[in-house]
Amino acid sequence: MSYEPKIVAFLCNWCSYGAADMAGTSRIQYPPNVRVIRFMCSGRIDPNFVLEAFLRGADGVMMTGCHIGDCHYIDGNYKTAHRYEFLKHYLDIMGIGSQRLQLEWCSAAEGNKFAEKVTEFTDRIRELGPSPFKRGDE
Amino acid sequence: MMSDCYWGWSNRQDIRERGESGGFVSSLIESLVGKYDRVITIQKTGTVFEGNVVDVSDPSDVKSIQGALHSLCISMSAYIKKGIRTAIVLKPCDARAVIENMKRNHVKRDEVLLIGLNCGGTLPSVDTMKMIDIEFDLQPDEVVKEEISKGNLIFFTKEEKFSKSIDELEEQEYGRRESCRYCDFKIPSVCDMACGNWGTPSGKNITFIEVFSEQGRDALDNAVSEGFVSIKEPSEKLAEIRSKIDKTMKKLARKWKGKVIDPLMELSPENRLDYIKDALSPCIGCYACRKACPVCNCSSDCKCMQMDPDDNFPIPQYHAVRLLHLMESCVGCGNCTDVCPVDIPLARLHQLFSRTYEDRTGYRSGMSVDDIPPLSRGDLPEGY
Repeated sequence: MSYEPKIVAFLCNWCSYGAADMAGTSRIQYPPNVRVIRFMCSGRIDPNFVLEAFLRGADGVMMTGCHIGDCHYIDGNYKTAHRYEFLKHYLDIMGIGSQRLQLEWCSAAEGNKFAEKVTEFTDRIRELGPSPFKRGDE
Repeated sequence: MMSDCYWGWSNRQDIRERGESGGFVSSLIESLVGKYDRVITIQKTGTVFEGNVVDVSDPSDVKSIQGALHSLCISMSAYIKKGIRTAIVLKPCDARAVIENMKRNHVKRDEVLLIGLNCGGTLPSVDTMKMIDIEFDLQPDEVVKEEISKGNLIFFTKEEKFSKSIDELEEQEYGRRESCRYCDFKIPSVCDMACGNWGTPSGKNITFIEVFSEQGRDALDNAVSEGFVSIKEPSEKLAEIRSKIDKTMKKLARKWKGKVIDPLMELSPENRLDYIKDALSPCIGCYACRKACPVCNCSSDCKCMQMDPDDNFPIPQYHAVRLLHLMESCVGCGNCTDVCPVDIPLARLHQLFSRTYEDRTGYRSGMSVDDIPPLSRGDLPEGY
């Protein structure tokens, strides 16, 4: 069987989850590789969650939230952006590669963009191959 | 920030002769007793490989204060508690740890007086005893005094003086602790004042003092006006020598970083991950590194302590999280390597992350209370 990447996506309740919903109700196709986890805010995504996703065998992690300035909690996504930049360096030094982490802003009306970004990201991870961090038994 | 340099010495003849470099720090400590709730420094124990942390409450304790010991690596920052006004003598990495704790509101800046000591590196005590036996042909308990001067490690017995080049010793895996070799923070400019024997005339029992803050200035002025210490302007030539020593040490540190840390970054990502995996594989999960770490301070909320290092992940989640958190806060004190019972080069791993992060972004831990740690930032990020 050909390799299918496992992707974990962290979605914020107010915008990107709405976008995923929108993509669904509008019947927009996107790869089924993504596993969605809903958060109240992208600012709730502890860097540790991203780490744990990789440790538990994810090949790629997507963090998504409202556009800057549109956060339901005013500045939650500012924190997300800082953590994303920090995590990219970390994953790079660790040897996992910063390409396996992606941050996207999707508003609730951007079902199209969400589907597009998931497709792009899945293709990229498929090209990169399995995460070097994966447990040996999987 | 103001910065002023002085030569200083103790006014008490006995302290001046007995103390290292003129007993300036001992007498400064004496002048601070009563003005601070705690005045913390190191007490003599009779050997150069050990010292006790002591709260000097009685001025007569001053006699037993120990000068700088190279093979004593106590993390002094642990003795500072919020709400207790503390004056403390510490080495540069401890000072950086205190600054990191201040950033996270565990210590208040105006509650502490940091008396920094210049530090060219510390020695691991057990390995040093072994080295004294093998390389110097001495019994460790014969040694009454040690000194690092002009790149030489010097041990004094009651009768004689034995000297060897540190570079040569380090070729043979003796000498300074690994984390000290590539540490490039030698004069603790984050302290209220930095004291040391760099830039002093030899044999004159004088300490070189650089004052960095208003608080340090007050403490110094007080000690002078109350007659504990004397100060005078240093000669320009020797002040220059001091900054030259600092520069040479930093250059050496960069050389060591190029030898130990940079090659790891030159590995391919897969090989680097394998290196980290292999290095961490002997972990037995004692949490000693977490407990010894001066900047790790989640206290009772600590998530790491609930993670089992034996969790079958490729890298124990405990270490993965610690590597992540310390990437923004590791001060390179090397305590984790010291306490590890299975000799994992933890300081090297943490420094690999934090020094590389520093090279890429310019953010350096423990340098200023006003720097906001990357993971605590909440302002509008650049480029967004």
